[in-house]
Amino acid sequence: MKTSLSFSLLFLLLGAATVLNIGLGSVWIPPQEVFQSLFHGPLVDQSHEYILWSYRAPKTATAMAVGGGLALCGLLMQSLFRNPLSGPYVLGLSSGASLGVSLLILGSSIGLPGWALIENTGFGRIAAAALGAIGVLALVVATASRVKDTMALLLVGLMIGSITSAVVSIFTYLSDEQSLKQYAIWTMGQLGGIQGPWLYGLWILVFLGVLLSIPLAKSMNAVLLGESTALSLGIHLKRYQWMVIAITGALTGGITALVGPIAFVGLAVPHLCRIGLQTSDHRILIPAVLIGGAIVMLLCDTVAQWPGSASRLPINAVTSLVGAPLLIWLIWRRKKAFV
Amino acid sequence: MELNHLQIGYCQEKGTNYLSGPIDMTFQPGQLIGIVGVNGVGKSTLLRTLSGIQPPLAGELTINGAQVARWDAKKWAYHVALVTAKHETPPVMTVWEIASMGRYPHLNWWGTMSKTDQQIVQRVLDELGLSPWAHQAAELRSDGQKQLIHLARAIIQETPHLLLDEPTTHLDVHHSFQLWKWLKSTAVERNKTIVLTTHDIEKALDLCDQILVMQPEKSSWGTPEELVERGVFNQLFDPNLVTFNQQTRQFKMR
Repeated sequence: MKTSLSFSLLFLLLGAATVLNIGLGSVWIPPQEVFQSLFHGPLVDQSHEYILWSYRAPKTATAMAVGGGLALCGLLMQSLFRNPLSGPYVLGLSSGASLGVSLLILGSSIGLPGWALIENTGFGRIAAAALGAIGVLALVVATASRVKDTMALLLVGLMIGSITSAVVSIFTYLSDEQSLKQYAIWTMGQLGGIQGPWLYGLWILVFLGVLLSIPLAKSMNAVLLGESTALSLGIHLKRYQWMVIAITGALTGGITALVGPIAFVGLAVPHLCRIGLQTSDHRILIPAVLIGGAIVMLLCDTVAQWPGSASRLPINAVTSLVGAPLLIWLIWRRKKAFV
Repeated sequence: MELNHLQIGYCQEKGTNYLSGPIDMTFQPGQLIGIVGVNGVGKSTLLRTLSGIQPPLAGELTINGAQVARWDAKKWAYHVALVTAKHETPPVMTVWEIASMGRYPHLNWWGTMSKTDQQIVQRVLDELGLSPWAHQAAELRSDGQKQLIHLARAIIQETPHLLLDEPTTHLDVHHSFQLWKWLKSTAVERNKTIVLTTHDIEKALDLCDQILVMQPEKSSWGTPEELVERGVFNQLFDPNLVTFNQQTRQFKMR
């Protein structure tokens, strides 16, 4: 009863956040126009129709998939490492993606041989980010096969993140002003501009991640009691660990490649859901973080595109500025740590 | 469960680290079996090996005559339940939620509990006196009660073998006595093999049907009477510090 009430509230919030996100911006599009365009054909005001379908709706759809996907990654990783500090970034995947993109954007300006030949296109950037993330993932997977302790794996992830950040710092130090600005913009995150096949691809990626995560819910619950207990409860621990690493790697790599690194959502949304729903049951938490992640991302994007303003704030900064204090406040109130 | 020349320990890069000598023994259903020995001799490692979590270094382990080397986690979970000495109690999880995880090996992929599963959980919680807190956060219970919650989880798993690593550690004298008594009667009434590690050797001598005394060179095994007669306990600890009285079956500080 309590759970169904909480989910009704979550769906209500998701609806409200979606309407706000589509409606608010430099031009206000009222909800009734959105519904009219959705169910009764094109709007009379063609500019609204154009803004709605060419810009706002794809951006809203991107925000939902990105928020849900990253929050799911956070939940999976916090369960795998049994560590509340885990998020999609702890394995260094995001740093790997950043390294790939920094190599692409900054490479030619620091005089890497033959780099000028590689065109700095959107597709190239996605490929570079994905390759960077997959490269780090391969390294983590190789480590995971040698190191049995998940905490050690977490440390290795953090170290890989530090190394790639250091390399990126050297690139940024050596590169020219124009490339640096281009790279800085990418690191701030971009939800707009994902259209057509890329948007479908993003949704398919997140959908597959969800589909593969649902059968893991039972294992995720058992692992909360410790690895030895989970094993004695019949959980195939190795299979579960590899699944989590593969899903998280693919989702984080894919999402970061498309929209840039986005902080906070993956780390904090699972905690917000645990506190809000008062449960550690992953059969409830998986759908909750998907909806919660989408809500948080939509609200952050709405704040980033401040109503009436033509300019946008960087989404990566907004997710941290809006979400982190909220989490601190909730933890402060509960005075408890959540895993 | 039969252990034939079983050797336990860890494979390390520097070489194999054997803990205790080879173990030969048989666990019978309906028996309470105690494992005793000094710290670091491998009592917990033996339990991990007997529950399939850690492979043996040498020797053979059979359950109901079957070789267990190729068993997967699920098959182990039908035969052996384990309660480790260090168990985790996640925040916001209720006593019921933790205990009912014992049904996991018997449930479908989503973990749907039938009415029978729920009745099993309720019955064990009642028996262990945990029902009043069933729907409260387990994290808020005392260390002793948390121990009982994890014990309940293992019993709810309904396996013929129950392995407990120092189950009385956090319990006061009253609850410790109560648990020993309960384990003894459970082993007999439900025809289970209950194996526990303990530092309470005197209690093990009183209540266990068989005792394994683990020592670095050679482990000894038998009924309490046999072991006392053979003088096994006289050499277990440093005789300059601890002596064992064979008549009273008690340890004393010299």
